[in-house]
Amino acid sequence: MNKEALFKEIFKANSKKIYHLCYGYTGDDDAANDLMQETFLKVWQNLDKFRNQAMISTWIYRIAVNTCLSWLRVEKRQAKDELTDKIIETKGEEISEKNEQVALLYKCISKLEETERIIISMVLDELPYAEIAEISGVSEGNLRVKIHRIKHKLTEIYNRYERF
Amino acid sequence: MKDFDALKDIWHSQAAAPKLGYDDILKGIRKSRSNFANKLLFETLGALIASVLFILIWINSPSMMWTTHLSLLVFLICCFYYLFVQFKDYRSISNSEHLLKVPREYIEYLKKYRRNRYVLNTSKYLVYSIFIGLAFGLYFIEIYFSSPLWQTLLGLFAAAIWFIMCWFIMRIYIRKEQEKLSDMIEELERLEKQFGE
Repeated sequence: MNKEALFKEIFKANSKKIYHLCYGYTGDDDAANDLMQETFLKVWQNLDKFRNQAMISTWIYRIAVNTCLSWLRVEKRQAKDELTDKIIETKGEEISEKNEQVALLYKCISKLEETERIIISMVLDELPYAEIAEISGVSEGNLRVKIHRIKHKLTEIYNRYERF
Repeated sequence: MKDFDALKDIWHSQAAAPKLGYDDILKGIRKSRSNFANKLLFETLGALIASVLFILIWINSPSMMWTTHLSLLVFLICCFYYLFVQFKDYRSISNSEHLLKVPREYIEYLKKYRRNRYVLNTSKYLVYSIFIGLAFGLYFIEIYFSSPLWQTLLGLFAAAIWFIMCWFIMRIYIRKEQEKLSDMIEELERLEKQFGE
């Protein structure tokens, strides 16, 4: 398989999940698209190293996580939170109830700490715990405790917002 | 009241999808590669033209004082040093191997990279400016002996103004960079701590 064909296959299989991870991290559609593009640019550059790897998605996720972490260098956290609020407010009228729930869920995710946002996006996308541990470099035992705590925190934030 | 499974259902019902397709990504890859190459080429050409100019002056001026030889040598070393630093930095940016590290190690890399950039943009740049100023000063010694006094004074005055401007701008720049670096390091350490818990 040539490089472009392999890349196309990898992109099709992973782009949506990577985009969700970036969206969960930034709370902003444009930034998520930028980060996803940057991630796949790096995937392209490292494609030859991946050819013989069994768990290619683990590497792609790790690149995406690290790309998200470096995004924080230029973006201010406060500005990002304000942006997420603005998205919810301005788009609120035009979206359906289902989409409103999705937007609210993203807003709640944006209230979590950065690591928590990354981990929960992967949990919501149903990645195996062992893979999340491999991607994040956190031990599996420690990760289980973290995930339990984040799930509880996210549910609590969501229910608090939904009441209003 | 919703439980986590209900949130998971909401997540899976989302229509949010990337705006960019496979073709857009490939276009982006080609564009970024040519942007990178163009910038590198532009800067390399600039430094090379300056180097050739200094070499031509050196060759075409037969009777030179030792101070002028030293001045041109300093200019040339500065040009090559600039070229070397830029090339090394671009190589480091384009090398994405560190992105494959676990997040904690990657954050360590980012901290190190930011610190190195800070040293390069502040202290090293200041030393670089001082050497350029010194080269100008040495060059004007010969001008003093071979040209009318007003030309020497004018040249010295221009060099002094340039030198003072660099010094003032660098002082402001270093202070701002220091603040920016402290914020970034603080932010990165906060992230590092999150991964370590």
